[in-house]
Amino acid sequence: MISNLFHFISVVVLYRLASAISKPENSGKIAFISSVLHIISPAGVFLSAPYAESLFSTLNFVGMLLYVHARQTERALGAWKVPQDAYILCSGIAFGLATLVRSNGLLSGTIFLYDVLQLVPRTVALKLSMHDAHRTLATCAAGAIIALAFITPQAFAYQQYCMENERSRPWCRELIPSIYSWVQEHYWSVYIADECAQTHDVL
Amino acid sequence: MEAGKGMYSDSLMGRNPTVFLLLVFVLWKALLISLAVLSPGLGYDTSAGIILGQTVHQNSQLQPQSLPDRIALTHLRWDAFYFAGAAQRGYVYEQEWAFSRTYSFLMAAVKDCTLWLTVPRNTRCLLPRSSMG
Repeated sequence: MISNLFHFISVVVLYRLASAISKPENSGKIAFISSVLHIISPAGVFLSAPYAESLFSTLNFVGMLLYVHARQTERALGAWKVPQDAYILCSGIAFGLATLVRSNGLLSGTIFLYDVLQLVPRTVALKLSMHDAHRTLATCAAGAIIALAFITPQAFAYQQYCMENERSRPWCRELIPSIYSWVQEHYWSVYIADECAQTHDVL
Repeated sequence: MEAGKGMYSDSLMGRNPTVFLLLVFVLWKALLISLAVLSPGLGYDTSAGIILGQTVHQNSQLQPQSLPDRIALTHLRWDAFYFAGAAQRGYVYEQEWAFSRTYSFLMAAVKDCTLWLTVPRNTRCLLPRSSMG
């Protein structure tokens, strides 16, 4: 089953990722422990059954690994050039695909957001070097890919339900017509950041 | 390997991590699937029966005969049921939009590919086309 295959691939990618980001003297142990923990993950059968979890996990870890490659090769070269652009754009594509498979992949974009926000003070003071400007642009492009992946399925839903008749579904008239949040609330009583969720259910 | 990797360098883990991880993976999965299959009774969610061709009324007689059926019954629960349904016939109900169309499309594509590869040449033209939408 593809879920099992992707779970295994995910384990191997995590091993590579953990090796890449841990200090050389620890990397064997950290990579070993983290990848074995991922195998015996509490998610259990969910990673074998036809769920999006294992594919999402693989794509997410691949995205992180590519990002790590981008930053590590940048450090080794002392410059941000085309290979780094390629790495970070591919990282954005991996995260984007992950977001298509499970929409909370959007949160992986915070890695890129953090990088860009770090450079905001320098940008505002107009003290940005060419190197940093180049990196910021590439990072923004990668982030845009993720955002696109998040919005596109919802745009399809909007097109199918709302374009012809705005009154056809309650969520069409929201400021941000998102089918995801409405469906979660209405069918499964899952409210995003609502401490009154339990009262909603009862009333 | 760097000296700092310690005891792991000489073990199977150090020499060929992928093989070692595969071994642990296969053992663990075998354990999990056995647990799922050997759990007594039908379980709390027998929705898979709908896809396997058994109707709701026959639930009391729902005795999975074969191991593949039993595995399908235990795996096709909750979200998996939605993904499988969407892979077969696309989205019909609004709540199905919560489940990635990309993923169910992938499932359908893999199923088509496997059928294409395993079915004898002269019957390939008779395979149904999966429709999405």
